[in-house]
Amino acid sequence: MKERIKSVVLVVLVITNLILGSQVLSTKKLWSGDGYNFFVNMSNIPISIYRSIKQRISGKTPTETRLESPELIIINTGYQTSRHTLRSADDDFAPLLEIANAFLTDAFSRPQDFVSVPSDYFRTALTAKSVYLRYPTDYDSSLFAYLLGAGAGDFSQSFSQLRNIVISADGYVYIEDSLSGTVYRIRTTESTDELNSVINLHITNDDTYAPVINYAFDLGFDKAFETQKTVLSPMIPIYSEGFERETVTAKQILVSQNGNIAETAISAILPHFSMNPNGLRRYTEVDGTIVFVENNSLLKISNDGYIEYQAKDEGIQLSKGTAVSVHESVAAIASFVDKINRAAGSDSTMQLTSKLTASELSGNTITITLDYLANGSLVRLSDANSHSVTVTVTNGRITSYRHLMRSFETNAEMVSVDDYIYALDNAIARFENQINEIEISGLEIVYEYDGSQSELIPEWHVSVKEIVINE
Amino acid sequence: MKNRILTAILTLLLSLTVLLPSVCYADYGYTIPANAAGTRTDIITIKRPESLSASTSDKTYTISATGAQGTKIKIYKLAGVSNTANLVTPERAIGASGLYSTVVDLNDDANTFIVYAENASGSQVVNISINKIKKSTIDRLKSLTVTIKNFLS
Repeated sequence: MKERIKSVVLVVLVITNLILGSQVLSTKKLWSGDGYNFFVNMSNIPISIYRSIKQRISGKTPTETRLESPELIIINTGYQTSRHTLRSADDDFAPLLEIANAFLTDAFSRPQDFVSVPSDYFRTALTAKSVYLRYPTDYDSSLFAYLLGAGAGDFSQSFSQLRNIVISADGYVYIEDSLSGTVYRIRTTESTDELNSVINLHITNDDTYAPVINYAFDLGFDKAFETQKTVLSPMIPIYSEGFERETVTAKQILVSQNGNIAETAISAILPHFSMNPNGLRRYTEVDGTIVFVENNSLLKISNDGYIEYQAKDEGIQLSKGTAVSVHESVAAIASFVDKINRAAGSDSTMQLTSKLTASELSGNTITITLDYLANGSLVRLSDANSHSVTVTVTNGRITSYRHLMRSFETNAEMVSVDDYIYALDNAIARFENQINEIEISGLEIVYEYDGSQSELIPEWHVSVKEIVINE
Repeated sequence: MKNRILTAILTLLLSLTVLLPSVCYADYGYTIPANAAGTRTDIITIKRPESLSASTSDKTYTISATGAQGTKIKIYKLAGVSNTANLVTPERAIGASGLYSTVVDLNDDANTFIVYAENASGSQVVNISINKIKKSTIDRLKSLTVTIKNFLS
């Protein structure tokens, strides 16, 4: 009897082995969904448990990349001395953004109720109690409403695109059309109690805040006058003095220090590109780049940590359903990028760095770029034309994807960041004798990364909108 | 004879030391007379306060200006009713951007600042008045402005 049971078990095991083995050879997925590789999932369990414990200890909820997240929030208390800036790394950022988004969702769900107001209303709101939200790029109004969860309304009668928003303490939302400069306003129905309590909290603590923050328009630097050759965009925050900021450590997550590829991470990444690790053709190029080839796509993982995917057919579907709208595709990109980061073992979030206005969204193909956020500031690649993620979506499917895989950790070490004026002076001094006029569109703290250094130092980045050169 | 020549040279040097600054421009140190005047009016342009006077309820005020690269700027504050202003912002040269800004502390009520700028072409003195008033007064003025705007529109 005992021997018979043994024989049956062995036969069952042999049959199962044959069935599963044939499925692996025929590249069929053994498990449905993203995580069909059981063993990779198993190997990821300790990482998941570690993250869960880490999050519980730190009390922070897991962050995710949000395309509609502002890059900067400034709390205007009505006092110049106690204006306060918040970046995504600050503890107060997420709760305040939640409050602000409630106002914005209400406002963007009623596009017909926006009315045009004189442009100085926007600046007046900034000098009173209010919250200023500066977004990383220009957004098509309808897309922004969709990303907020307010539905993709019709904004043809108001602002076409936006980047700057002010929510006043009395419940008005002011939006500047980033194309025409016209300001629109709407009275929201949200209670202003929570918003006011956050603003008032910063008034009572005003002695602790330094440096003093002015907007460029406060200081009159947005208007050229006589011999003044430098003009700043009116909304650039000007800090009265330098300050200290943490350094950041960049980590390679796909390639170890001894040059070995992290096979577990790669096995976790491949399924997101609809690739079965067991049924792939794989070879290594002379420079060490690993190439995975499937019938309809190609994926390269280079020694410097770049993942490059190229579809040979219609690509990877971003959302379920046959007719995926442009808005749905764009919204799904953030989630896809997060999945790749998490699969590789990075907790980093990213920030949108390419425009998403009507002209970018008009064709069947959209190209979007994102870059890492570290300690609440953007990690800019030294090569100005490169981005950490470049994704091309055609008809709702990813046809091309390039991702520099890294994770970033904030160090305890602080370094001094110069006064803004030195940054401007240094940037302009490079062209000193040639410039007749220069228009600065942005001045922000970034971590510049050449792709190889381990420690990143915060520094000013000056964005130039226009230069008039002497002839 | 030798002593007479030496005395003459020393006298000349002393005269130059005393007179040159007042002929060309006065290079003021930690204080400046309230009635100091420069030799030019076009070295810097005060951008804030645009009208050279302002009212605020803040504890500080940011003065901004533009000028040519290399122009040195110092800010003095008039001390009460005296005829002398004391240095409150040390000398800083304008860089390639041509922009200058500095934060000054305010006392209650009237504050008079003297901006002293100098470069190779001469010197300029600009007086700025900042009144510190109560926040409630500012709020009343702002609401009045909004009311008028609403009325006009």
